[in-house]
Amino acid sequence: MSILLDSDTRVLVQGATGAEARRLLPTMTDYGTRVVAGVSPGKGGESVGGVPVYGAVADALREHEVDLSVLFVPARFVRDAALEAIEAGIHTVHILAEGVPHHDACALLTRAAERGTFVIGPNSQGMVSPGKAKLGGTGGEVPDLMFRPGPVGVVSRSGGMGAEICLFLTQAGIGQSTYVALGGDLLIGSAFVEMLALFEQDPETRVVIMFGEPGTDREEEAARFIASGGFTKPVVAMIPGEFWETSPTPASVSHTGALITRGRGAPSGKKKLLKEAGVLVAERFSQVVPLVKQALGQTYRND
Amino acid sequence: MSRLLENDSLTLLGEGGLPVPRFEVCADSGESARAAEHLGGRVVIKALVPVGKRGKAGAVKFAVSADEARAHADAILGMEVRRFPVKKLIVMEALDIEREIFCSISFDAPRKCPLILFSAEGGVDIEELSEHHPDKLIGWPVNILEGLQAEDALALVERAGLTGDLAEQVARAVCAMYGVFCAHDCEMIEVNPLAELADGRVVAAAGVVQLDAQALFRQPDLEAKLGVEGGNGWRPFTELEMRMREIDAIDPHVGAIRFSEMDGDIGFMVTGGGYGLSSLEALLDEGGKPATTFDITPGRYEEKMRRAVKAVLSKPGIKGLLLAGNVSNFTRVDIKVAGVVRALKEAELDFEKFPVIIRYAGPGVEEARRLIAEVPGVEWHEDEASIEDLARRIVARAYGRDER
Repeated sequence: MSILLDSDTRVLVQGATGAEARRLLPTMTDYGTRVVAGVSPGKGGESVGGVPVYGAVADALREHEVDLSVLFVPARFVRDAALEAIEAGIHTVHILAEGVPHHDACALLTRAAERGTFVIGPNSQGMVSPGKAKLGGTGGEVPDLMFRPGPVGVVSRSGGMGAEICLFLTQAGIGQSTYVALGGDLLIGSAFVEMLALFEQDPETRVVIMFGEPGTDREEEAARFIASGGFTKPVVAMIPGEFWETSPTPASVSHTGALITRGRGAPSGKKKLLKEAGVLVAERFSQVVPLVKQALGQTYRND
Repeated sequence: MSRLLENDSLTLLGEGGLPVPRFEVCADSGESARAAEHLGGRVVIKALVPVGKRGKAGAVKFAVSADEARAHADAILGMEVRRFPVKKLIVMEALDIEREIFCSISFDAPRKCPLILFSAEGGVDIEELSEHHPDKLIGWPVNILEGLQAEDALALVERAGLTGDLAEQVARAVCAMYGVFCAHDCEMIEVNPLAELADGRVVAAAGVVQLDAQALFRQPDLEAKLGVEGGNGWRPFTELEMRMREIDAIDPHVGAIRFSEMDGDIGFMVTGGGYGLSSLEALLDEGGKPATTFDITPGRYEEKMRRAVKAVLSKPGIKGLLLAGNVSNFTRVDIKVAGVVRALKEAELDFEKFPVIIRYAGPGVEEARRLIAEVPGVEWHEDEASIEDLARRIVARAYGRDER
C-alpha cells in the first residue's frame, strides 16, 4: 500500500498546457499515474499526452471523478488555481510551484482548512508511491534508479534531500512505500504529523524517515504526536543545522522574530524532543540507512 | 534582504494611514542642521542603518538646536553600528512620549495565519517583558480571508488594558498596520514604540517593514527601494559578494544565486537547501573551514557557473574547492559541469596540488564525466558518494592529510 497516491488515484493536472506540465506529464503517466484530465484556462478542448484538457476545474469534474489535483501553474497564479480546486471539493491539492507569495499561500491554506482540503506544498518537489504513481518532477526520467517499492515512508521538508535519501535506500536494497516532499516554504499545508497519521494506517509502511530543517515547529509537533501514541512504528529522523546555533548571531533589526520563536525551531531542541519520543535520530547522513536497517530488523530483506 | 530601511518603512506606514513623525534623511552635518531648523529645533538624530540596537551603540542622539544637531551628525556619521558604516542619518522631530506600546504583524507558521503581537508596554525591553510577564504580550491571530475588523482591533487593545480615546486611536493604528501588511505583501511589520504623546496623539515613533521576497514581482515600487545597504542581513556585502551579485544579474531568468563569503579556506559550492546545509555540517565536523556558501536554483546556466567558479577561485588563501549537489531529477548536470570545466581550464591551476572535488548525479552524468576528464587531476564522484565521503575527501586533500 501507500499513502495519498496509488495506481488508482484519479489525478487532475492544473496548468496542463504549460511547458513544465508538457515535459513532466508523460513521465507521470508512463510511471503509472492515472491522470484523468487537465485544466488550463482558455485551453479547453486541447489535449496533452492523450489527456483531455478543460478550461476550468468545474468543467473537468463534470466529465471525470478526481481524487487529487496537482498544480503545475506558476507561482503567481497558484492562489486562484488552488482556490478553484478547493471550492470544487477535490480531496487533495498538491502544489509544486516555488516562490508562491506568503499572502497567497496563507489565503489558500485558510480556505483549505475551512473546506477540509488536504494540501501538500507549496514548493513541494513531488510525491512518489514507487511502482504505482508519481507526481511532479521527482525521480526524473529514470525513477527506478531512485525509487523501488518497499516498507519505508519518507517525508522531507527538502526535496533534494528527500531524493538523496531515497537514492541511498534504493542502493541499499530498501524500498519505499511513499515519498512526500512537504515543501520548503514558511507556510505549507500538511506536515510531518499529517503524514505520520496516514503512515500509521498503512499496513505496508513499517518505518518512517523524517528529514527536517531549522525553523518552524513542524518537527516539535511530530515529536509530541509520536510521544502521545499517535504513531507507533519506528521513526528515523535527521535535522541538520545545529552548528548554526553556536555561530555568532546576526544582529536582528526587530524583536518579532525572537518573540515568536522563543527558542523553538532550533535543530538541537527538535532532536532532543524527537529522541525523548523514541525516535532514532541520525546525526550524520551516513547513519540514516543503518538506522533504518536497525528499525526494520536484521533479518529484513526487500524482495 | 527584503527589509526596508527606516525612512522607507515609516513613509509606507504613513501612506497607509498610520501617523508617523516628520523626518528628513541627511547625508552630512550641514543638511542635518538645516533639517533640525525645518523640524523646529528639537530633534532626534539616528543612524540610518539596517540593524537594530542603535541606541545602545550610541547612534541615536537628541538635539535642541541646529548647532547641536550639526555636532551630533558629525559624531554619528562615520561611526560603525554593528559592522555597518553610517553613511546617512534620519533627523526626526523629537516626541514627548508618555507611553510606549508594542505592535507587530507577521505570519504564524503553525497556525498558517497573520498574527498580531501586541503589548501595552512596549519599548526596547519587550523581549524581557515577554519572558517575565508573558501575559502582557497578546498574540492575536487574524483570518486572512476576513481581514482585521475594527471591532476586533478594539477588542485586542482593550484586552491589553487600554481604554477610551487612546484605545480608539491605537485600534485605528493597528488596522492601518494590517492594511499595509496586506496591501504591500509584507512578511513582517513592527512598530516599537507605537507612542502615546503628551498631547494625546498616537504616533509610530519607529518602524520596520520586511517585504516578502517571493511577492516582489507585484510590488515593483518597493522592490526598487531595496538596495544593497542591507548587505546579507548582519553585515554589508563583501567585494566578492558584490561580484557574485553582478554574475547573478547577467541573466535574471535562470539559476538565481545565493552566496555568502566566509572566513575559511575551502571553496564550498554545494547546492540544494537541505543538501547544502547537511554538507556544510559534515565539512565543519571534519574540521574543514568553508570560504563560501553557494546555492543556485536549477536551470541551464553554464555561463553563470563558469563565472561563479572563477570568482570563488580568486579568493585569496583558498586551498581547495568542493562542488556538489543532491541527485538531480531533471536538470541536466552536464550543462553545469560544462561551465565548471571552462572555469577550471581558464584558471590554469595544477589540480594535483590544488584539490577540486566534484559530485553530481542525475541526467547528463555520462557527458559530465567525459567533460571532467578533460581537466587532469580533478576528482570526480557520482551517486555513490555520500555527503560525508565528500567532506572527508576535501578536508584531507586541502589540508594535506591525504591518506589515499
